[in-house]
Amino acid sequence: MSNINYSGIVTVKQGNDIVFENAKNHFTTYGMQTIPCFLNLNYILQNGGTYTNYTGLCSNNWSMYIGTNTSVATTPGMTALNAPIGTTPGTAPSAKSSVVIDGTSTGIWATIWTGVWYPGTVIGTIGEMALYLCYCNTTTANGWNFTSGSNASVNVTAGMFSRLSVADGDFQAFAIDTTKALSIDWNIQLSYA
Amino acid sequence: MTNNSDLKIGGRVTVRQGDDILVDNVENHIVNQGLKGIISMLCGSYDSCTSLNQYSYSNRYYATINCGTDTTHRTTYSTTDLSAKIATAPNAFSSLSPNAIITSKWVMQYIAIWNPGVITSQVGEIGLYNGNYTNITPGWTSANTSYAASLFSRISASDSDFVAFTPVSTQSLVITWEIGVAA
Repeated sequence: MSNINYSGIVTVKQGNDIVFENAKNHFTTYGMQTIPCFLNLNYILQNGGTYTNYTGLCSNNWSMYIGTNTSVATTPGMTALNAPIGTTPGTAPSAKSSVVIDGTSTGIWATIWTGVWYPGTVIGTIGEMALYLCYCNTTTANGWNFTSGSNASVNVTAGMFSRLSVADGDFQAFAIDTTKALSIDWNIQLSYA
Repeated sequence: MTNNSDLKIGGRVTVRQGDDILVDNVENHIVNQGLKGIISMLCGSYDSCTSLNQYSYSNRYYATINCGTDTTHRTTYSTTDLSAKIATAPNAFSSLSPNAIITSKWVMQYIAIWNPGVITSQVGEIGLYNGNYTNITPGWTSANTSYAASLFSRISASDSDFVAFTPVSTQSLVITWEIGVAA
Protein backbone atom coordinates (compact mmCIF):
# COMPACT_ATOMS: atom_id res chain seq x y z
CA MET A 1 0.00 0.00 0.00
CA SER A 2 2.17 2.80 -1.25
CA ASN A 3 0.74 4.72 -4.15
CA ILE A 4 -2.95 5.53 -4.38
CA ASN A 5 -4.84 5.05 -7.62
CA TYR A 6 -6.67 8.25 -8.54
CA SER A 7 -9.10 7.57 -11.34
CA GLY A 8 -12.39 8.71 -12.82
CA ILE A 9 -14.83 6.10 -14.06
CA VAL A 10 -17.80 7.06 -16.20
CA THR A 11 -21.04 5.27 -17.03
CA VAL A 12 -23.68 6.67 -19.38
CA LYS A 13 -27.30 5.57 -19.69
CA GLN A 14 -30.29 6.54 -21.78
CA GLY A 15 -33.36 5.47 -19.88
CA ASN A 16 -32.49 1.99 -18.64
CA ASP A 17 -30.10 1.31 -21.50
CA ILE A 18 -26.39 1.45 -20.77
CA VAL A 19 -24.66 3.31 -23.60
CA PHE A 20 -21.23 2.49 -22.14
CA GLU A 21 -19.86 1.81 -18.70
CA ASN A 22 -16.70 2.13 -16.66
CA ALA A 23 -14.74 4.22 -19.12
CA LYS A 24 -11.74 5.96 -17.57
CA ASN A 25 -11.61 9.74 -17.77
CA HIS A 26 -8.60 11.96 -18.48
CA PHE A 27 -7.72 14.48 -15.80
CA THR A 28 -6.82 17.99 -16.83
CA THR A 29 -4.42 20.28 -15.00
CA TYR A 30 -7.28 21.39 -12.74
CA GLY A 31 -7.86 17.76 -11.82
CA MET A 32 -4.23 17.38 -10.81
CA GLN A 33 -3.28 20.65 -9.14
CA THR A 34 -6.43 21.04 -7.05
CA ILE A 35 -5.48 18.31 -4.59
CA PRO A 36 -2.06 19.68 -3.59
CA CYS A 37 -3.53 23.19 -3.64
CA PHE A 38 -6.21 22.34 -1.06
CA LEU A 39 -3.63 20.42 0.99
CA ASN A 40 -1.81 23.75 1.12
CA LEU A 41 -4.72 25.63 2.77
CA ASN A 42 -3.82 27.07 6.18
CA TYR A 43 -6.90 28.90 7.31
CA ILE A 44 -9.82 31.18 6.59
CA LEU A 45 -10.26 34.25 8.81
CA GLN A 46 -13.21 36.59 9.16
CA ASN A 47 -11.78 39.81 10.59
CA GLY A 48 -14.51 42.34 9.85
CA GLY A 49 -17.63 41.37 11.75
CA THR A 50 -20.69 39.23 11.25
CA TYR A 51 -20.10 38.36 7.62
CA THR A 52 -19.43 35.14 5.80
CA ASN A 53 -16.26 34.46 3.90
CA TYR A 54 -15.52 31.09 2.46
CA THR A 55 -13.44 28.97 0.20
CA GLY A 56 -15.23 26.76 -2.26
CA LEU A 57 -14.34 23.08 -2.27
CA CYS A 58 -14.57 20.80 -5.27
CA SER A 59 -18.32 20.22 -5.22
CA ASN A 60 -19.14 23.92 -5.09
CA ASN A 61 -20.95 24.84 -8.34
CA TRP A 62 -20.10 21.47 -9.89
CA SER A 63 -21.64 20.44 -13.19
CA MET A 64 -21.31 18.22 -16.25
CA TYR A 65 -21.44 19.10 -19.91
CA ILE A 66 -21.62 17.18 -23.16
CA GLY A 67 -20.32 18.04 -26.61
CA THR A 68 -20.17 16.85 -30.18
CA ASN A 69 -16.47 16.90 -31.02
CA THR A 70 -14.98 13.56 -32.10
CA SER A 71 -11.52 14.59 -33.29
CA VAL A 72 -9.72 16.46 -30.50
CA ALA A 73 -8.09 14.32 -27.81
CA THR A 74 -7.80 15.52 -24.21
CA THR A 75 -4.67 17.36 -23.12
CA PRO A 76 -3.78 18.48 -19.56
CA GLY A 77 -4.11 22.14 -20.48
CA MET A 78 -7.61 21.82 -21.93
CA THR A 79 -10.14 23.95 -20.04
CA ALA A 80 -13.40 23.42 -21.95
CA LEU A 81 -15.18 21.00 -24.25
CA ASN A 82 -14.29 21.49 -27.89
CA ALA A 83 -17.88 21.76 -29.14
CA PRO A 84 -20.32 21.86 -26.22
CA ILE A 85 -24.02 21.23 -26.77
CA GLY A 86 -25.71 24.46 -25.72
CA THR A 87 -24.20 27.82 -24.90
CA THR A 88 -20.62 27.56 -23.59
CA PRO A 89 -19.72 25.77 -21.34
CA GLY A 90 -22.79 23.75 -22.34
CA THR A 91 -26.28 22.82 -21.24
CA ALA A 92 -26.15 21.81 -17.59
CA PRO A 93 -28.00 18.70 -16.41
CA SER A 94 -31.65 19.12 -15.47
CA ALA A 95 -30.93 17.40 -12.16
CA LYS A 96 -27.71 16.84 -10.25
CA SER A 97 -26.82 14.72 -7.24
CA SER A 98 -23.81 13.13 -5.60
CA VAL A 99 -22.97 10.34 -3.19
CA VAL A 100 -19.85 9.34 -1.30
CA ILE A 101 -18.54 5.82 -0.96
CA ASP A 102 -17.07 5.48 2.52
CA GLY A 103 -13.85 3.47 2.32
CA THR A 104 -13.24 3.12 6.04
CA SER A 105 -13.53 -0.66 5.83
CA THR A 106 -12.38 -1.27 2.28
CA GLY A 107 -9.79 1.40 1.55
CA ILE A 108 -11.75 2.36 -1.56
CA TRP A 109 -13.07 5.93 -1.37
CA ALA A 110 -15.16 7.64 -4.00
CA THR A 111 -17.40 10.54 -4.81
CA ILE A 112 -19.95 9.84 -7.55
CA TRP A 113 -21.58 12.80 -9.27
CA THR A 114 -24.70 12.09 -11.33
CA GLY A 115 -26.08 14.42 -13.98
CA VAL A 116 -29.46 13.79 -15.61
CA TRP A 117 -30.75 15.62 -18.68
CA TYR A 118 -34.50 15.24 -19.01
CA PRO A 119 -35.84 13.88 -22.34
CA GLY A 120 -35.57 16.42 -25.12
CA THR A 121 -33.50 18.98 -23.22
CA VAL A 122 -30.38 18.23 -25.26
CA ILE A 123 -30.11 17.21 -28.90
CA GLY A 124 -27.19 15.96 -30.97
CA THR A 125 -24.53 13.29 -31.26
CA ILE A 126 -22.25 13.05 -28.26
CA GLY A 127 -18.50 12.81 -28.83
CA GLU A 128 -17.16 14.31 -25.60
CA MET A 129 -18.24 14.98 -22.04
CA ALA A 130 -16.73 16.70 -19.04
CA LEU A 131 -16.95 16.90 -15.26
CA TYR A 132 -16.65 20.45 -13.96
CA LEU A 133 -15.57 20.82 -10.34
CA CYS A 134 -14.54 23.84 -8.34
CA TYR A 135 -10.77 24.03 -8.73
CA CYS A 136 -7.95 25.52 -6.70
CA ASN A 137 -4.78 26.87 -8.27
CA THR A 138 -3.35 29.06 -5.53
CA THR A 139 0.39 28.55 -5.27
CA THR A 140 1.91 29.93 -2.09
CA ALA A 141 4.83 28.64 -0.07
CA ASN A 142 3.98 27.65 3.52
CA GLY A 143 0.28 27.54 2.81
CA TRP A 144 -2.34 30.02 1.72
CA ASN A 145 -4.88 31.91 3.79
CA PHE A 146 -8.07 33.73 2.99
CA THR A 147 -8.75 36.72 5.20
CA SER A 148 -11.68 39.05 4.67
CA GLY A 149 -13.74 41.52 6.65
CA SER A 150 -16.80 41.23 4.46
CA ASN A 151 -18.90 38.73 2.56
CA ALA A 152 -16.32 37.27 0.20
CA SER A 153 -15.18 34.03 -1.36
CA VAL A 154 -12.34 32.32 -3.20
CA ASN A 155 -12.12 29.19 -5.31
CA VAL A 156 -15.76 29.24 -6.34
CA THR A 157 -15.34 28.75 -10.06
CA ALA A 158 -15.94 25.33 -11.53
CA GLY A 159 -13.56 24.28 -14.29
CA MET A 160 -13.07 21.24 -16.45
CA PHE A 161 -11.62 18.74 -14.02
CA SER A 162 -11.68 15.74 -16.38
CA ARG A 163 -12.94 14.76 -19.80
CA LEU A 164 -13.95 11.71 -21.78
CA SER A 165 -14.00 11.65 -25.57
CA VAL A 166 -14.34 9.65 -28.74
CA ALA A 167 -11.04 11.14 -29.88
CA ASP A 168 -9.34 9.52 -26.88
CA GLY A 169 -10.88 6.16 -27.78
CA ASP A 170 -13.03 6.17 -24.64
CA PHE A 171 -16.40 5.46 -26.29
CA GLN A 172 -18.18 5.53 -29.63
CA ALA A 173 -20.15 8.59 -30.60
CA PHE A 174 -23.87 8.14 -29.99
CA ALA A 175 -27.01 10.07 -30.82
CA ILE A 176 -29.11 11.35 -27.96
CA ASP A 177 -32.49 9.63 -27.78
CA THR A 178 -34.75 12.58 -27.08
CA THR A 179 -37.48 10.30 -25.72
CA LYS A 180 -35.33 9.17 -22.80
CA ALA A 181 -33.43 10.74 -19.94
CA LEU A 182 -29.67 10.88 -20.43
CA SER A 183 -27.70 10.19 -17.27
CA ILE A 184 -24.00 10.23 -16.52
CA ASP A 185 -22.42 8.75 -13.39
CA TRP A 186 -18.93 10.18 -12.87
CA ASN A 187 -17.03 8.32 -10.18
CA ILE A 188 -13.78 9.82 -8.90
CA GLN A 189 -12.15 7.09 -6.87
CA LEU A 190 -9.17 6.68 -4.59
CA SER A 191 -7.93 3.16 -3.90
CA TYR A 192 -4.77 1.42 -2.89
CA ALA A 193 -2.64 0.39 -5.84
CA MET B 1 0.41 13.28 -25.42
CA THR B 2 -0.21 12.70 -21.73
CA ASN B 3 -3.16 10.41 -21.26
CA ASN B 4 -3.82 11.25 -17.59
CA SER B 5 -6.36 8.47 -17.14
CA ASP B 6 -4.41 6.40 -14.61
CA LEU B 7 -3.03 8.82 -12.09
CA LYS B 8 -1.37 8.07 -8.79
CA ILE B 9 -1.33 10.02 -5.55
CA GLY B 10 1.85 9.18 -3.75
CA GLY B 11 4.59 10.48 -1.53
CA ARG B 12 8.35 10.17 -1.37
CA VAL B 13 10.62 10.78 1.60
CA THR B 14 14.30 11.63 1.93
CA VAL B 15 16.15 11.92 5.24
CA ARG B 16 19.55 13.58 5.53
CA GLN B 17 22.10 14.30 8.20
CA GLY B 18 24.70 16.71 6.92
CA ASP B 19 25.85 15.24 3.63
CA ASP B 20 24.70 11.74 4.54
CA ILE B 21 21.48 10.42 3.05
CA LEU B 22 19.88 8.09 5.57
CA VAL B 23 16.65 7.46 3.64
CA ASP B 24 16.71 7.98 -0.09
CA ASN B 25 13.49 8.91 -1.84
CA VAL B 26 11.39 6.00 -0.53
CA GLU B 27 7.66 5.70 -1.20
CA ASN B 28 5.41 6.52 1.73
CA HIS B 29 2.23 4.74 2.77
CA ILE B 30 -0.81 7.00 2.74
CA VAL B 31 -3.33 5.90 5.36
CA ASN B 32 -7.11 5.84 5.28
CA GLN B 33 -7.64 9.18 7.03
CA GLY B 34 -5.48 10.83 4.36
CA LEU B 35 -7.70 9.38 1.65
CA LYS B 36 -10.78 10.43 3.58
CA GLY B 37 -9.43 13.98 3.74
CA ILE B 38 -9.01 14.09 -0.04
CA ILE B 39 -12.48 12.64 -0.68
CA SER B 40 -13.82 15.24 1.74
CA MET B 41 -12.26 18.01 -0.41
CA LEU B 42 -13.85 16.46 -3.49
CA CYS B 43 -17.36 16.05 -2.06
CA GLY B 44 -17.44 19.26 -0.02
CA SER B 45 -19.05 22.50 -1.12
CA TYR B 46 -17.40 25.13 1.08
CA ASP B 47 -15.57 25.90 4.30
CA SER B 48 -16.49 29.23 5.85
CA CYS B 49 -16.12 31.73 8.68
CA THR B 50 -19.13 33.71 9.85
CA SER B 51 -18.16 35.73 12.90
CA LEU B 52 -15.59 38.31 13.92
CA ASN B 53 -12.03 37.06 14.36
CA GLN B 54 -13.14 33.51 13.67
CA TYR B 55 -10.62 31.17 12.07
CA SER B 56 -11.23 27.91 10.27
CA TYR B 57 -7.95 26.04 10.35
CA SER B 58 -7.36 23.08 8.09
CA ASN B 59 -4.88 21.05 6.08
CA ARG B 60 -1.54 22.89 5.89
CA TYR B 61 -2.00 24.74 9.18
CA TYR B 62 -1.65 21.47 11.10
CA ALA B 63 0.93 19.89 8.83
CA THR B 64 4.05 18.60 10.52
CA ILE B 65 6.41 15.66 10.54
CA ASN B 66 7.16 13.50 13.55
CA CYS B 67 9.58 10.67 14.15
CA GLY B 68 8.95 7.55 16.21
CA THR B 69 10.93 4.69 17.65
CA ASP B 70 8.81 1.69 16.66
CA THR B 71 10.43 -0.95 14.45
CA THR B 72 7.83 -3.72 14.62
CA HIS B 73 4.47 -2.39 13.35
CA ARG B 74 3.87 -2.26 9.63
CA THR B 75 1.66 0.45 8.18
CA THR B 76 -1.88 -0.57 7.29
CA TYR B 77 -4.58 1.56 5.73
CA SER B 78 -6.26 1.77 9.13
CA THR B 79 -3.13 3.02 10.91
CA THR B 80 -4.05 6.29 12.63
CA ASP B 81 -0.81 7.37 14.29
CA LEU B 82 2.82 6.49 14.76
CA SER B 83 3.20 3.52 17.10
CA ALA B 84 5.73 5.19 19.40
CA LYS B 85 5.85 8.86 18.50
CA ILE B 86 8.69 11.07 19.64
CA ALA B 87 6.78 14.18 20.63
CA THR B 88 9.55 16.64 19.79
CA ALA B 89 8.38 18.86 16.93
CA PRO B 90 10.79 20.00 14.24
CA ASN B 91 12.74 23.14 15.04
CA ALA B 92 11.79 24.39 11.60
CA PHE B 93 8.98 23.31 9.31
CA SER B 94 8.18 24.73 5.91
CA SER B 95 6.60 23.82 2.62
CA LEU B 96 7.11 24.85 -0.95
CA SER B 97 4.24 26.01 -3.10
CA PRO B 98 2.40 23.31 -5.04
CA ASN B 99 4.24 23.07 -8.28
CA ALA B 100 4.11 21.33 -11.62
CA ILE B 101 7.34 19.40 -12.04
CA ILE B 102 6.06 18.51 -15.47
CA THR B 103 2.57 18.88 -16.87
CA SER B 104 1.63 15.43 -15.60
CA LYS B 105 3.07 15.75 -12.10
CA TRP B 106 1.98 18.18 -9.38
CA VAL B 107 3.69 18.06 -6.02
CA MET B 108 3.61 19.60 -2.56
CA GLN B 109 6.89 19.44 -0.67
CA TYR B 110 7.30 19.66 3.12
CA ILE B 111 10.65 20.14 4.86
CA ALA B 112 11.28 19.47 8.57
CA ILE B 113 14.54 20.21 10.38
CA TRP B 114 15.59 19.19 13.88
CA ASN B 115 18.66 20.93 15.27
CA PRO B 116 21.68 18.80 16.25
CA GLY B 117 21.09 16.74 19.37
CA VAL B 118 17.34 17.36 19.57
CA ILE B 119 16.38 13.81 18.63
CA THR B 120 18.64 11.33 20.35
CA SER B 121 16.67 8.09 20.28
CA GLN B 122 16.49 5.54 17.49
CA VAL B 123 14.17 6.44 14.61
CA GLY B 124 12.19 3.52 13.23
CA GLU B 125 9.12 5.29 11.84
CA ILE B 126 8.31 8.73 10.48
CA GLY B 127 4.88 10.26 9.86
CA LEU B 128 3.48 13.19 7.90
CA TYR B 129 0.55 14.85 9.68
CA ASN B 130 -2.07 17.10 8.15
CA GLY B 131 -5.28 18.85 9.19
CA ASN B 132 -7.32 16.32 7.26
CA TYR B 133 -10.94 17.16 6.57
CA THR B 134 -13.26 14.53 7.99
CA ASN B 135 -16.73 15.35 6.64
CA ILE B 136 -17.84 13.03 3.83
CA THR B 137 -21.44 14.18 3.49
CA PRO B 138 -22.01 15.09 -0.17
CA GLY B 139 -22.02 18.87 -0.59
CA TRP B 140 -21.00 19.47 3.02
CA THR B 141 -20.51 22.97 4.29
CA SER B 142 -19.01 24.13 7.54
CA ALA B 143 -18.81 27.36 9.44
CA ASN B 144 -16.15 28.26 11.97
CA THR B 145 -14.82 24.72 12.11
CA SER B 146 -11.20 23.91 12.76
CA TYR B 147 -9.82 20.45 12.22
CA ALA B 148 -6.94 18.70 13.94
CA ALA B 149 -3.64 17.16 13.01
CA SER B 150 -3.91 13.52 12.03
CA LEU B 151 -1.58 11.09 10.33
CA PHE B 152 -1.61 11.38 6.55
CA SER B 153 1.17 8.95 5.64
CA ARG B 154 4.00 6.99 7.17
CA ILE B 155 7.29 5.25 6.41
CA SER B 156 8.82 2.71 8.74
CA ALA B 157 11.61 0.24 9.29
CA SER B 158 9.02 -2.50 9.73
CA ASP B 159 7.73 -1.79 6.21
CA SER B 160 11.34 -2.19 5.02
CA ASP B 161 11.33 1.43 3.89
CA PHE B 162 14.62 2.12 5.67
CA VAL B 163 16.95 0.77 8.33
CA ALA B 164 16.34 2.22 11.78
CA PHE B 165 18.94 4.83 12.67
CA THR B 166 19.98 6.94 15.63
CA PRO B 167 20.69 10.57 14.71
CA VAL B 168 24.18 11.81 15.51
CA SER B 169 24.21 14.73 17.91
CA THR B 170 26.46 16.94 15.82
CA GLN B 171 24.33 17.42 12.74
CA SER B 172 20.80 18.57 11.90
CA LEU B 173 18.27 15.97 10.84
CA VAL B 174 16.44 17.04 7.67
CA ILE B 175 13.37 15.29 6.28
CA THR B 176 11.91 16.19 2.90
CA TRP B 177 8.45 14.80 2.16
CA GLU B 178 6.89 15.17 -1.25
CA ILE B 179 3.18 14.48 -1.87
CA GLY B 180 2.18 14.47 -5.49
CA VAL B 181 -0.34 13.66 -8.18
CA ALA B 182 1.28 12.12 -11.23
CA ALA B 183 0.67 9.95 -14.25
